[in-house]
Order: sequence, then structure tokens, then C-alpha cells
Amino acid sequence: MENRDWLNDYMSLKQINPANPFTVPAGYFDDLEARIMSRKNLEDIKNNAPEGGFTVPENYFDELTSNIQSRVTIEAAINGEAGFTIPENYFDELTSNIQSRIAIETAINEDAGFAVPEGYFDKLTSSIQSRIAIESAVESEETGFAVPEGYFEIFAEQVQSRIAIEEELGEPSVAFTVPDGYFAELSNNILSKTVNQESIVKRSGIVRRMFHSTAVKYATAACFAVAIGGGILLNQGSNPVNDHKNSFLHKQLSDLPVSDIKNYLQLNVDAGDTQQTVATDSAQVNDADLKNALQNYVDSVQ
Amino acid sequence: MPTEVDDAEILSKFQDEKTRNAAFNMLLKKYQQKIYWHIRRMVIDHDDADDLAQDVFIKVWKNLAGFRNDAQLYTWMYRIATNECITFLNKKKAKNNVSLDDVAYELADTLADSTYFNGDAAQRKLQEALLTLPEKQRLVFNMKYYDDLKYEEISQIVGTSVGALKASFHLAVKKIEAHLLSKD
Repeated sequence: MENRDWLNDYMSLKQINPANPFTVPAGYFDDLEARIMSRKNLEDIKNNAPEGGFTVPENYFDELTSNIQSRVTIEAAINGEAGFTIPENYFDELTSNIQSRIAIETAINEDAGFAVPEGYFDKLTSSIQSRIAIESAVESEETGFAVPEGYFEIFAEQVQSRIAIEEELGEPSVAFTVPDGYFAELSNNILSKTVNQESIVKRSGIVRRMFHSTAVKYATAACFAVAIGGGILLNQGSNPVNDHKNSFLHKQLSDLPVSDIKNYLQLNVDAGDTQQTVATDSAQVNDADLKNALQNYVDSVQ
Repeated sequence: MPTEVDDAEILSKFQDEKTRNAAFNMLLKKYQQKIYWHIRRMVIDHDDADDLAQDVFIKVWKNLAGFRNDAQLYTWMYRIATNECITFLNKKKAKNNVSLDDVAYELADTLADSTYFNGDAAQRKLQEALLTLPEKQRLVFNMKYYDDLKYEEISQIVGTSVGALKASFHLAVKKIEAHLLSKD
């Protein structure tokens, strides 16, 4: 073989068997063609239908980005503060950052000329009025009184101008007159009716009210109630019947039988005892009963 | 023994939609083993060679319609297979973050552990010597030694001039000879 002539220069290599030393699994090349064709068919299917037969709504991918962004925003809002984090020391540096930003914005605006915030002049009138109201309130709270601005600066001029006008107009009108010496006596008359009269008026004495306190009133009423109640009780206690019931004689005799008392009286009582009893008791005596009692007594004596 | 189908006939049938699959079947029958062995000698492992061979023929299927007749069909397919092999080896280096020498050691281990290698001791030494070469020298040597391709054909495949290929080939052979002698 012409192409292998070069091997003659390399004897070590020439001694090696030039046959392919590699092998393949049994039957590998028998089904290699079928496997490659199957793979090719799969590639065809993939190329013809990259999405695998699936479809999506029209303009789906055009709107997909915005939909995802909206979803991310909603998720962030739902998670709230727990879902948000801030860099370390964010709030510590926030003030200085804002001030730096304001300085930068100011510098930028100055470069481009003067500028005011949007809607500045629309709100300027109301802002000034609010500021004036606040300043007025502050001043009134401090002194209690307020004068127009620059009032004392022009006060002297106003007084002098007024004097000059009065002098130019001359004396007041004399159309009205008063009696001679009226103004000289006027002061004395007024004093005599006011100040001097007060000195003549006797001062009334100091009146101290006894029952000025409510407690005193209630104590007084209680005293009256106790006095009245006590009087009633005493009056009831002095009843002759009650006196008799509460007497020692009544209590002793109430334990004795009636028959014993009658027997005792029949043996020991005379006519004088009965009259004395009736007279001292000053009780209302029925004449008929009395006569009967006397008759019974006489009959019993006879 | 069936005669090989001419490349022109394959290409002609491939242009027709109705006979395209049949043309591709003929192409597979004619070149599948050559492409496979070309790949296998570069990546050593059979499974890797199998995956790459299928990838190569899928690319052939996709691009065969645009193939220009100013080149040989098999050199065009060899070029695709060679690029696939180099891409595979570069990915292997990047994946393992190793140098070219380390890849050579890995391939040598694969060769030692391979059950699909029935060469004798001399043939194993030759393969070990080949794994010490740069990829381009190994490619040239394999195509010259095993496939008996001419420098002009290898030039079309690798995209290098014939003179540079000759220099690379002789440099590779000297290294292999030295390796074989030193081992002996």
C-alpha cells in the first residue's frame, strides 16, 4: 500500500498490528442505523412542532412580561413589611442622603435657571395667609395685644398731624353754653354726690348667719325630732292605766287568784276606802253601777 | 457482497422529498462505521462515541440539503465528526477543570478499564502513546494510520495546509516511536 510506505522508516511502529484494536458490543452496528433514524425522526418532530403541539393564547408572550411584573408587585404588597428589607444602616444614612440629593437637585436647577416646585404659585397665597395667621396667633399669645405693623413708628407723626389740624380748626364750636362757673362747681357737685356721700353712709354691721352650715340645720332638726318623740313617749307613759299596770301593787296582786282578793276585800275593806278610791282616781263613775255596788255592800253588811 | 452506493446518488435522492429518508438510510449504511471509529479513536469510550456518532448524523441530516458538491461527502462528514470530538474533549476539560495532559490521563484510564478493547500489548502501548499527543497530531495520525486518508483529504477535514499536516504527522510519529522504544 502506497500510503503506508512511511512505516518503513519507523520499525517499532511497523511491527504493531495495524488492525483496529477497539471493539463494539455485539450487534452494535446492526441497530445503529435504526437508532439514528429514530433519533432523526424525533428531531424532525421537534423541528416541526417546537412547542410539542401545545399552544398559548394569542399575544401571550407579548403580555407575559407585564403580567409577571404585576404579579411580583402584588406579591410584594401582600407580603408587606415582612417581605421587604432595607440595607443595613439605611435609616441612619437616609437624612444625609436626602440632603445630598436636595443639594444636587438644587445645583442642577440652578444650572438650568431658577425653578420652583410644581404648583408652587397655586399654593403660595394660601401658604402666606396661613403663615400670617400663625404669626398673628403667636404674637397675640406672647403679649395679649397687638398693634398694626409700624404703628409706633408713625404714632408721633399722627399725633402731631392731629394737633396741627385741631389748631387750624381753632376753638370748638360755641353754639352751646353753660352757666358761669358751671365747670368750677361741677367737680364739687360730682364729689359731693359720689365720694363724699359714701363717707357719710353708715356702714351696716356684719351679719353672721347662724344656720349657714347645712350640718347645723340637720342637727337642729334632729334635736326637734328627739324632743317631740320624747314628749310623746312621756305623755304615753304617764297614762293612769299604764301607771297602774306598771305599779308594784298591780304586779304583786296579778299573781293572786281573784277569789282570794274578793275574800280579802270582803273581810277588810270598809265604805271609806271605796270613796277614797273613787275620788283619787277621778275616773268616770257610772252612777248606776255605783248604786248597785253600794247596795251590794249594804246588803252584804246587813 | 453488495456494492457501495455512490455519494452522488445519495445526494440526488436526498434532494427529493419522497426519497429523502431512503437516501439517508443509504448514507448511514455507507458511513456509520467509518464515522464511529473516527470518533471512537478520539474519545476512546464506546458510550461517548455512540452519543457523538448519533449527534454527527443528526447534524448531517439537518445540513445535508445545503451541502455543496465542491467537497467530498465523506470529508464533509469527517469534518463534522472531528469538530464534535474536539468540542466534546474541550467540554470534558472545562467540566473537570483539568489540563490537556489530565484529559490524556483520564482517557488512558478509560482505555485501561475498557471492556471493548481486544488489542495486544503492542497495540495498547500504541494507544497510550497516542494519548500523549496533542489532539491535532492524534487526529492526523489516526486518519493517516487507520483510515489511510491522503493529506489532501485530511487537509479538507481539519482545515490545515498539507505541509503543516505533514509536519504534524511526522512529529507525531517520532513521538510515538520514541514512546514505544522507551517503553521497550
